[in-house]
Amino acid sequence: MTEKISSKQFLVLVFMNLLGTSIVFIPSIATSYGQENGWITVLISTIIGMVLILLFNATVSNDDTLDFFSAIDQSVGKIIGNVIIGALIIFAYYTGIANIWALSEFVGLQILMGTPPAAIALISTMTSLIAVRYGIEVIARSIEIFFPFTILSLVLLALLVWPEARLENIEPIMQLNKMSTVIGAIPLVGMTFLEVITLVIILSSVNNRKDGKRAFLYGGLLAGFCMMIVTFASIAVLGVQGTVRHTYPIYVLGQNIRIAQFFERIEVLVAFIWFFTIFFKIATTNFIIVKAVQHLFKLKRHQSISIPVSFLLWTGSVTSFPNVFYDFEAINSTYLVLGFIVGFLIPLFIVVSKKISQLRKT
Amino acid sequence: MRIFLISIITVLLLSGCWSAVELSDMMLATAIGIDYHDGKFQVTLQVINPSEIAANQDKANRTSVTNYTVEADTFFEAIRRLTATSPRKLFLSHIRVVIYGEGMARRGIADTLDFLMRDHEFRSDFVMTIAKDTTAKKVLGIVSPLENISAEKIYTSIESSEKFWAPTKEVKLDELVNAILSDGKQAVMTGVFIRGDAEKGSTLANVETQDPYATIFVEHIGVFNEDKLIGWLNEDQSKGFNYITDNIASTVGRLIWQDGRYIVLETTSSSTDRSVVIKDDEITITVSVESTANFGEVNADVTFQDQAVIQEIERYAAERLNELLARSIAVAKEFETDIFGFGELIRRDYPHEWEAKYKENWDEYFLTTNIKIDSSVRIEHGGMITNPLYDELIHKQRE
Repeated sequence: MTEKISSKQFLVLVFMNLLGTSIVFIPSIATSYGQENGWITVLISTIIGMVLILLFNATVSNDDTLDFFSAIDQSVGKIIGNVIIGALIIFAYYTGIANIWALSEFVGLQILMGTPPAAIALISTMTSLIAVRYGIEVIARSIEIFFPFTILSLVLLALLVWPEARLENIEPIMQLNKMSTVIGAIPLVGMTFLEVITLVIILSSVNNRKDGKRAFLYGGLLAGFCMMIVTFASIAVLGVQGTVRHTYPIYVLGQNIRIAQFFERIEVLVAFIWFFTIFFKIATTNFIIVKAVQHLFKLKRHQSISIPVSFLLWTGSVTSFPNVFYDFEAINSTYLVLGFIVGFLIPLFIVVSKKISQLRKT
Repeated sequence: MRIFLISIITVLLLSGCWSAVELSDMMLATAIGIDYHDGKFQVTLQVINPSEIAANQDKANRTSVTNYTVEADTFFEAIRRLTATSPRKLFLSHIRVVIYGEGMARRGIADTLDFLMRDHEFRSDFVMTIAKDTTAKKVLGIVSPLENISAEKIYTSIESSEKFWAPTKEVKLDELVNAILSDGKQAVMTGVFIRGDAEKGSTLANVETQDPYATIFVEHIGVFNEDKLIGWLNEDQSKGFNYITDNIASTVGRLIWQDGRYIVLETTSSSTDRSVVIKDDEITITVSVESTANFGEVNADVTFQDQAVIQEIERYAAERLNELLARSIAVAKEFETDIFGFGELIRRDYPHEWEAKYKENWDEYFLTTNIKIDSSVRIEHGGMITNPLYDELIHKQRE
């Protein structure tokens, strides 16, 4: 049984996966590099991201009958293919635990104060387990339902903080810190666009693959745009210092909504964006790991290993991070290297080996 | 099996109740006062007395709020130590104002800011103020008429006086920290002070008379150098400060017309443009104010038939405004701190020069900058009557 999703659903899925977690961390990371040009850093990383997505698209063949795994096995051989899929699993696992951990930290700190992060992580992982057992079709359909809410929350956030924005905070535009503005795009790409390499596995479930590839690009573009707007708003409202200093600037942004003395204290709006995007990111990542493991061990049903994978994700998220500050260190070192290898070198290798085998044939 | 699963799922839902606190088990704090006393932080917390706030209930003869004061070596310790004197756990999310005693502000406030930003219970929407000439403890001790909670009174006073009277500024935590950390701007905070008898004012008797023994006033702007209070702007200078930083919503200003008679103008809107030119190492900053005003009170010998008269008043008002602004700037130069953020203006317009030269010693360069002030006032409305009453009165007297 092969599951099929529409290209529109895939677009929304890409959007959610890109915004998950990153939407709360990106403003402060981008601003810490680019200072008042932080939003330009996001813009640059979006451009790089577009190129990366083109690369990801190139790894998937246009042949609708071939799924991603068998296509890899065909183009690079079984052994190397398995190594590549193994690397993808490790990367997806790392992304998964990082996201579950980030969600539990945030909720434990800001919303359910005092609740141990492990409990929150358990609930979110187990919920994603249910999603995984239903399969990608159901995940995609529910994302489609929640997408309007997410967009609405984002638009509301951007509009409602506008009265508090001071445009002089973003001046001078591209005069100082030019180098770090550009360099800052690298860790940003690392925690956004390199992560979505794993979505190529789902790309082969899109019923029209050509449309799916276009949806991949558009989804990336839309997410990049949203991240840029949020970063811009953070800098304009909180100032450079305020954006860099806060762990979750977007949440503080929500706290700054204050219209006509009565429309205030609605920062939970931000929590909506955050919940929806990160939950679907966790669910998708979980699903991808399960699918890839299913292929590696040639299992009949992916449901058979969904429970152990979920528990591994949960324990990983609880035990892997010593404290909050490790997060930023990892984004700039370990995670970046892993992301670069899996998200850039591997797709490049696949594309090149594909080209070579094509040349050999002709 | 099914029952087993359902019970597990139900248990999962309980995780939200992990650190549940009932409303009746906590105290809502509305204000924090921070003083420095014998090398220790003296923290005063004002907490709401819920039964006195609730409407439609027989009120006992108690104040609506209670203040707790403790001393400790650090700010956070002081707040936690409060639980030793207070009956319940403190809840800090509803803080409206943070008040520094003048002594504390002069000593430096840097070591209180980290906790205010870091602790997750705080929301950063409270107003930061200084208790002028007194301690925060005393200010919070005043029982305020009309508004039961004095923290709420201070908050709303600052808000409304900034809007309608001008010589105050609502400074939030973020803004304060940004200003303290910025190279091209110094911080300011509005002062609150007690007028009257503070001793009597801290008893319930204060609200039992029509003429309270003591009231809390919100006025004057405190000038900072880095994190230390170094002086105060008086009422006019504070107003000038708000004109220069484009923070005027509405205000009232008096013009002395002939023979000591006066015209009072009500400013209805004002916008300020600031620009900077650096030429041959000489910095020239132009501040141009455009404000619109109405006649609020006319007690001078003028008639408004002639446009020339109106124009003359406009010109005269603009001159006065120029003087007002110039005095504020002169005072800031006396204090040697750039509270107007002219440095940030230079950073925006001349980023490379700023990084290379001015950034390090901006306060020194600030003293030598030329600041041109160019105001214009436009009079629009005259209220419900046309010519002033004074005009007819004086003629009657002459007869």
